[in-house]
Amino acid sequence: MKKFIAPLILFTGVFLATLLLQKHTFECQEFDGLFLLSGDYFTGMFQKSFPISGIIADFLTQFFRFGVYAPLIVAVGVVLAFFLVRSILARFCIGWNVLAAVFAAGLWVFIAFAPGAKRGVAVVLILLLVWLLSRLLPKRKPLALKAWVDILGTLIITGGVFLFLFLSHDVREREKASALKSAVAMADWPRVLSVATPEACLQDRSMTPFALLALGEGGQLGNYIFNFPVRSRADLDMTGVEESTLSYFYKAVLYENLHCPNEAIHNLFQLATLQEHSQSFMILRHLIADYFILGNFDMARKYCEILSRSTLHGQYVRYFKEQMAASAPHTPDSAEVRKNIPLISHDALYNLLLFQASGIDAPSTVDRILCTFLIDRDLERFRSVFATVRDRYTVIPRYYEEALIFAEGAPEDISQETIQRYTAFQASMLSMGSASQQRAFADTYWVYYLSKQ
Amino acid sequence: MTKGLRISSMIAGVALLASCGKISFTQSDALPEIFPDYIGVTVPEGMADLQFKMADGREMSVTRERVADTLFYSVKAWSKGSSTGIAYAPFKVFVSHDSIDPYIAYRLIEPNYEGWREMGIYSRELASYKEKAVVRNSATGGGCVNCHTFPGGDPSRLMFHARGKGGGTVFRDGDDIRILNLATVGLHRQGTYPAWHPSGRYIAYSSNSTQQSFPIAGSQQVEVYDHFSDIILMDLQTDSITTFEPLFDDKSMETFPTWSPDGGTLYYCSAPQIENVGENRAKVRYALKAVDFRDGAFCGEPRTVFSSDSLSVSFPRIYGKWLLFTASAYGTFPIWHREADLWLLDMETGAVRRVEEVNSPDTESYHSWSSNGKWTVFSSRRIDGRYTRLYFSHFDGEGHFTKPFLLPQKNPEHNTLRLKSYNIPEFVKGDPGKLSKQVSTLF
Repeated sequence: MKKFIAPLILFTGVFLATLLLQKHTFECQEFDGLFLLSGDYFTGMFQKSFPISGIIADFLTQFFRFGVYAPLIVAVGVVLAFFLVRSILARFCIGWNVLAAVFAAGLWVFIAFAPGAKRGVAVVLILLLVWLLSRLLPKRKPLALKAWVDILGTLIITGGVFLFLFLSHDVREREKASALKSAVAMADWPRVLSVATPEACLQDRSMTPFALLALGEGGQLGNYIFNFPVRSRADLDMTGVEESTLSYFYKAVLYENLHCPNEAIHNLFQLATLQEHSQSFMILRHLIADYFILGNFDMARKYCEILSRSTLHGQYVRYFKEQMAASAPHTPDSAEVRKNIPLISHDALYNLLLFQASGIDAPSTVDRILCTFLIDRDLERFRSVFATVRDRYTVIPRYYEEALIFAEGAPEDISQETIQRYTAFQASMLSMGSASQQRAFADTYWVYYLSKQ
Repeated sequence: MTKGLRISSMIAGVALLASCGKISFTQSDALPEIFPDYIGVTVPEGMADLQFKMADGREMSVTRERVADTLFYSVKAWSKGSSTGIAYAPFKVFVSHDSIDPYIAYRLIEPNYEGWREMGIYSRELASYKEKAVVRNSATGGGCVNCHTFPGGDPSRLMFHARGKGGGTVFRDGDDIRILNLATVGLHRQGTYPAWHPSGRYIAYSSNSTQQSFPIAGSQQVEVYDHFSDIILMDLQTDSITTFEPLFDDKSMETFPTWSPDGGTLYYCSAPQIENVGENRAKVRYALKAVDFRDGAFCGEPRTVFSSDSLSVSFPRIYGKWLLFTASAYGTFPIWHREADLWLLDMETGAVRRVEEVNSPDTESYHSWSSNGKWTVFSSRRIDGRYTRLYFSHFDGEGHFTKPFLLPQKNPEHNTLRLKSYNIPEFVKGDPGKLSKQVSTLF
């Protein structure tokens, strides 16, 4: 019985650490993964190096989408490595559990920092091979340590690795980025804002567009945009940001929320070109949803058929098949209709204005247009567009008021609070107020406007 | 069909007995709805067996019987777990003795936008399901490989473009493989769509400045147009490039060259050059033109062979007096135009018709004639509107095609599950082999 205590400690440590410190990291591996029971998938895998470990890793990665499966799989893998190493060492008369625990802990760290499951699986497969070979050696009685030494050693090793991962900046940052991606993929905007706080965005600027996207979807862009470290349009829409998995993912979600599935699909296809399999589970899920919205059921069905060749998408596919059965597809446009449809641009503002002019009116479109003008410090265009959409707001958002009072003096429907704050700001500016006074206005539009003129 | 047909029919029969033992079937006069739709198609002798499934996904068993040149397929279908099923009326597949080239070559690529990851030029043996990579882009540093052409279907000669760092145009002649960057020769213009002269000495290229754009709404997701294009001529003996003023001016855009079988005429598509092509894309319509070619040079005035106020011509391909082309409502990239269809021109009479018997409500685009002119292979998006698949049709030499059939696959679901499109299908008279290793030495 005592010989199972050390692996039990190891299992518990790995499981808890993965669950508490890396849950979203592994979840995102599923987003980027792909496993399909199709000829092309297997042909493609066998053209790569280490195909067997790749296929096993892809198969296991599917389960990372759901809560406890990733911690469970990682823990089982690490403990399996422990048993294999212990058994191999035994053939060399070494019966130190603590030594097997050291190796298993090494594998655990390796898995924790690896970009995917493939390398970890490869290590376990190699161990399995060595274990099989070690069976050829004669069985001998191993020299064992006292049980309490093994248990204490394993406890210290497990605790040490747990602490190392807990303190690791890389692990923390990766988990934070993954948590953000997970929340965005689920359109869980409050969770997005709980991860991408103004402080977090200050440390990692790439989070800001996601935070502003969440604000926009919550109808709060005009109230909070300059609470975040906004410096240019890139912070709002990733304009000019180098193309990457992050920027394509962002734009895909952005255009889904701007009710432009065509451009979302465009960015999903671009994202796919950066994936290991030229496709991924997350992209397929989004493509199904976007084609369904477009009314292109042929394509949605195709991707449903493909996803149904994975292991865990039965319910997802069934849902969309039922939705399609209950709806009518859109008739494809004739050439006569198509020729007049405007073309998208690389300029996000141009696209937003185009959407508005074309009647593609998502709730956040107008706010994004207005905030782009604010970021550009283009008060003239801000005023002229705001005048046309004034009726949409029962209460004018804070930063719109600050921009209006700045541009127009004191228009009649500006709140007293803003007028008083502006008066205080002017006084502070005139009197060259103290640093603490100036800090009090740091999150105002007026400071943003004047700071980089 | 193959010799294996009888054996597979027996196997199917045994499977039928085993699987349908407890199912009672109702005889129906209706034909089964199958995918792919092979009912009533004409296939060449020796073609890989046609594999299909019930379109609605029901279980099925098939028996096949050949009577003279007709194959009769009897299909029984039932729902999983059901004790009853339907025995459908047999459907026919006609076997033609007109031979077909043993291979086709095509590019496999995701129907992407600006980017790509893995792509390659592949060959497929038509008597079997064997597909081989002729060259993958992993051999060229990951760049785009495109516009492959085998002169006269000769498998030992090949040309394709390899874009990207260190890229250029790759020429294979037997065991000799070389790369030449056309942009460094003479006019500093890249070649795009090639047409290899029947003599093998010259290649006419269009040189296109192409752009992708994306409609903000609607069912069309990509539009592609040229800002300008011209036709240039490469002499493979001297590696020199020459031009001919009417094909290389600022007034018009010339593209999609193709030679007459005797090499005395170059056919191509031409449209007036206009400003802001993106906005005015619907005004761009290409006409079919021709220019004479004598002693290694173009001569005379180009002449219009066919033009229309409502059609834009692309991909002219000639066999004998027949010219098959793709026509769309406007523009130069028909694969993204749902209305694009195949049209046939009788060059003796000038009669033109839409080839209704092969077209579908969705896109038909690139096409090639077999070396004996009895078959055509063409790309179509009729299955799902985006992933291009290959179809074959028999041509009777009198202007009529048969109902097209989808390139057979061992598993019919492969047509749905494959995440790549088939581009530029070309017939090849033999196995072009695998060239990735040789090509990789050039990069």
